[in-house]
Amino acid sequence: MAEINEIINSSGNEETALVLSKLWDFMNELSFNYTKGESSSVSSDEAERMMSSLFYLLNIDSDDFSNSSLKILKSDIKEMYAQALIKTDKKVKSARQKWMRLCVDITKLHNISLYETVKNIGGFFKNYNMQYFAADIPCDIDYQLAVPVSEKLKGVDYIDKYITYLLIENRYINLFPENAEIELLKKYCADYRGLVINLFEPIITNALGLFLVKGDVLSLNINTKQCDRLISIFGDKQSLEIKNLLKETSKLFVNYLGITSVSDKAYIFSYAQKLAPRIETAVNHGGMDGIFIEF
Amino acid sequence: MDMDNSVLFINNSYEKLELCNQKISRYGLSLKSSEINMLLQNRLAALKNAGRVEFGVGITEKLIDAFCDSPYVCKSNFAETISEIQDLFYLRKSSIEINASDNELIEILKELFNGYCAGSTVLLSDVSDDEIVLLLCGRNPFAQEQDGESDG
Repeated sequence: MAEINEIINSSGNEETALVLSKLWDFMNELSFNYTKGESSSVSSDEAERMMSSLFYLLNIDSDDFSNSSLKILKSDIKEMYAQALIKTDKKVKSARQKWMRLCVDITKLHNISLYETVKNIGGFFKNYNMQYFAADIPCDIDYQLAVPVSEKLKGVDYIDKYITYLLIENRYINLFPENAEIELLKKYCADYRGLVINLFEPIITNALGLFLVKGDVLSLNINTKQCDRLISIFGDKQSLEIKNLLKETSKLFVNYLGITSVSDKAYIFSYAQKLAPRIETAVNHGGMDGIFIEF
Repeated sequence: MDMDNSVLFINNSYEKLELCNQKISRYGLSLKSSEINMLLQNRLAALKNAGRVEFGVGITEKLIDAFCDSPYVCKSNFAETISEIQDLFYLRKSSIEINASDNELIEILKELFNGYCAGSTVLLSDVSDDEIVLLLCGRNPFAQEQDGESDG
């Protein structure tokens, strides 16, 4: 019960004790319902997960407990919990719809970890138990996104964000000719189908690079001359300058691609910022190996 | 979980156990204040040892209720016996591989304690998980052994 211990250790006041006692009583009720009244105890693992679930549903931040405690003291926890379940159920339905859209629109570029992960997410909707374990993510997610979902997100919030990001990556991937993508991916990683690699990264990185040197973006192919040009563009720049250049380039790039969605634009901006240190390191080593790819 | 913190939440457990004295007095048993405190403290240790957490009053009251009519308990060993069975109860709850309700497990422990183990918690702790599972499934792994003994 990491949350409870953290709170007890950081605060000793009467109000905190009252709130904890209220939460504890509700946990008693929850665990009674969970075991259908057949067991007075649950395993530590189940107790931890149930407590995390309750904190997640009631939006209690154990790092900032004093903020939540007043709300809990004044409210009926049962009512708060019931409202949270209704809200969470809506989130689950919305995430499921997104996942169904993803299943239909998913790129034909075959990558086993991507396909397996999308399939596994279906298991989340079957196994998600929001009543007792709302903070859990009951499915395997192997496929790594170019912009990772914050580890602070839990339960359906995490899965919803993951699907949203995957849909965005998928939309970008679907903008480019499949043949060019396959050739690029083969050069990037010979076993791009079998290994756990992100498909979006090499495609968007090359497209951004081509856009920067005014090359044929849709070809996705950066030749040696264009690569040298990129080295000279980035070569004389400091870390912050590289970041700024990529930021400005990505703004123009999304307009060029005709992207209107704010979240899709934001995703490229985030990715560009993540790309900056990789470019800086590569330039410092005198090349762009593994970043901008010629095929 | 640091079970010491749970002390904050078990205040009402003392009163519940104290009330048990009314019930068990008919068997010539009683629990002194020090014994109730010992049971509550041992309960926390037993839970921690078994990797379990209890949010309510706990199992002690049910164990007292179930074992107070055993021919193998008396005033001098009752609290200690309950404490030892409490340890075993939580350990079994965690280690057996089927989902058994508290009542089912207590019933089996009681049957073993009063029968095969003849009131020995040491023998009770030697009964394997598999044997307990068999008993929970309605089969008696000791039947042959007991028959054999009586034959001899």
